[in-house]
Amino acid sequence: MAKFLSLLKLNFQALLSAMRVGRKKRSFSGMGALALLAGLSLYVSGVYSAMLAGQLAAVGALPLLLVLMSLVSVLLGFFFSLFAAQGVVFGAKDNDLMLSLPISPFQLMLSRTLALYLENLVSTVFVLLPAGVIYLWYGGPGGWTVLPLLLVSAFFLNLLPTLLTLIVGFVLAWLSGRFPRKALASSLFQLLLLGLILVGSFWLSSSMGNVQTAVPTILAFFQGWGRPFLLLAGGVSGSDLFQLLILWALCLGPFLAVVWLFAWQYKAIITRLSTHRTRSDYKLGRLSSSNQQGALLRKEARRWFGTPIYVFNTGIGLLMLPGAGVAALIYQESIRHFLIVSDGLVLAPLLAAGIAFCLSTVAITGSSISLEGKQIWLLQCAPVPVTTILGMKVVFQLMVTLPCLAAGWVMLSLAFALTPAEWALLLLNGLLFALMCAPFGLWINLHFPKLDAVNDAVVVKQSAAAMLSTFLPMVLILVFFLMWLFFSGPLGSVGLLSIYAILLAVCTALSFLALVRQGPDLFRRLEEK
Amino acid sequence: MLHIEHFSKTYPGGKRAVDDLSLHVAPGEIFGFIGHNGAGKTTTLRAVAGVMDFTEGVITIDGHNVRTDSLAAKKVTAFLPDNPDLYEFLTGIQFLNFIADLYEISGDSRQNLIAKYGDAFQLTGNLGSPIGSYSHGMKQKLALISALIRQPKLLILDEPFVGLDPSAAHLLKQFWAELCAAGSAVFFSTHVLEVAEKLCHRVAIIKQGKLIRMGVTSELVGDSTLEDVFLELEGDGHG
Repeated sequence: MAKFLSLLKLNFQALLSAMRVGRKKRSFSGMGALALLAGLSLYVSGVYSAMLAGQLAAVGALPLLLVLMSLVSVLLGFFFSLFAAQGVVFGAKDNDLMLSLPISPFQLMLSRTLALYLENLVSTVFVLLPAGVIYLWYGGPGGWTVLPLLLVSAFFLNLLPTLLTLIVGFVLAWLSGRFPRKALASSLFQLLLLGLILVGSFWLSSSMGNVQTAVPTILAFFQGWGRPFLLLAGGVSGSDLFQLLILWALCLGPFLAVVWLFAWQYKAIITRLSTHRTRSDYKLGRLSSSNQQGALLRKEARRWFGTPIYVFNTGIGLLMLPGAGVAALIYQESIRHFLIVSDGLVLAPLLAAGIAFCLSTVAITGSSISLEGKQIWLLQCAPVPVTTILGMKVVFQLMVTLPCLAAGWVMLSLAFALTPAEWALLLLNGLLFALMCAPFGLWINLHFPKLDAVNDAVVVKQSAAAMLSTFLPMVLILVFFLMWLFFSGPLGSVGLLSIYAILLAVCTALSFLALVRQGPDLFRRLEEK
Repeated sequence: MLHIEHFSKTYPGGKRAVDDLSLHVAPGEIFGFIGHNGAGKTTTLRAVAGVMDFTEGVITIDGHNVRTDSLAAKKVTAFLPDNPDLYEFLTGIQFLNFIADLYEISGDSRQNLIAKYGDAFQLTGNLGSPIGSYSHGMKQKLALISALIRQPKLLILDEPFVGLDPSAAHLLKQFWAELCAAGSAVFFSTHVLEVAEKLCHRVAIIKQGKLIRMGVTSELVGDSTLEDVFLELEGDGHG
């Protein structure tokens, strides 16, 4: 047991240290990152619960709030841990060391799985508890016991996303053993999952807009595979311990069974994952040559496309931009109708904020330095100016961002029938935001590098730089939203978009200035951090 | 070829890794850098290679100051750390081509050099596979090929023989001799004292960041062995 607890502590510390900022105040920084995760979950839960509770209370279906929010907690947990499971449980770089220690593969896998479970628990608890508070605020049945029962249930419900990610990890391992192009197979599978998650989110969002009439449909939907969520709502709202016991058993039983099954095959799974297909028949042919800039750009592209987790953590916004454009064109008539009904509602600044949100998730440069890892020496001893090395990282992010931005911009502008001035300003805002994010992410990553990560998932998903480079630009989006809320009337669409553009131009200039002034020095001192 | 004058390095936190080190490596010379773990060998090699920043002392390579004229210095240098981590998402040939692009080696020349060293180290057939699939020794060979195709004036290596099979180690020594005959120099650290004694024209012994002995290998060793000299110096009051 002592060995197992040590392993669990080690794996949980590895997860926390991935999120730390610098070397000092290690645990505090890890806890700070967990607090950020808790804050995000609290925000998501607060917004969705408040939106739903009023409508559900009006039709006497308030317990459905608990059903929907428990589903949200599982989806969030699954989404957060999907790639982490792949990296931490199945792709850890310390497998050779760990498997050589006198520890059973079962203990090793269980400790890694439970570390993930503990990380997920933060988001599950901070989704369910606010939902419970809002539920009680609107007079939901159950009284004071709702919150403690919800808390206990969160511990069991949290097993579901952890279980799902384990299954996904296993499928990836299975695929890897059968496809010569492992990265491609992994990317396609994750694309499929991402599509399912987006469809699910879309369904949930559209249900929320019309939840009063959709109550019977939603209930019918949950009667099948969604039974655990109904049990949770029934048990908590009716203080029905029997239903809760069934729920807890439904979560715990499959979890233990699957963990046992995978742990039994754990060594085989990770061996298969670490096996590479090699060929020894290469014939040297004519080699193409390019300049230093071209070589660095190609290297960035190969790393990005060859690292599925990097693509899917930084590429969702790239899909969302043209995706939103296509959706807007499909629902063009509804949008026109809404514009007539809303009587002069200023929408272009909101579109600018939406585009900015998509762009803020494309934080490729935010992980770009950390992903150099221990290979950083290759660039540090190369006869290439540091400004060129950093510049090519910025250029690569812009190369993948700008075409998607252009596609989204054209389609959204057409669908929303913007004026020529709004068209131009929307594009200018998008360009400036993209131009700001790329150097800003790199500057953040140079300040908070994570060169010793145990795997790429840790860098891309959980490192301080990845989080800060994604979430800090969102503060600007919040400012835009507040400005729209209070000043869209007096300033109008063009006025507001112009102010956004001025703000963005200043922030972009500051980002470039910071990178140019501090970047080379920070790059040279990377390994001393 | 290499001039190190009064080089010192203090790490954040106050640890003085190297203290007032001065040494010269002449063209055509193989120079061995010897010391126990943590003596300051790697710190020195990394500073010479331009990988690590420093503020005290002057290092010049082929007349180029490493701090103020770093690009020119790096252009004539090839550095290999003790455990060369390479881009595992690239194939061997993509990596060599990447290095050739960074060092601006012309198309025909790079092809001839890759063929020469790839065939010699028996790695050409594997160059189409991702580096992630290579064994430790294959990675070491690939890193050596990437260094040799640059035809450097100064080859800096940290523990180059670790992980190499005997035939590859033998080849490496041949290529060093070839480089030195062409006027280049080799500056390397090692714990394998027999190798240093056989290969090096001169050696330097460093202890706790300070240079404690330097000279022509044969003169330094005399009738003894380098191992005896090293152990004697380690044991006495130096440093």
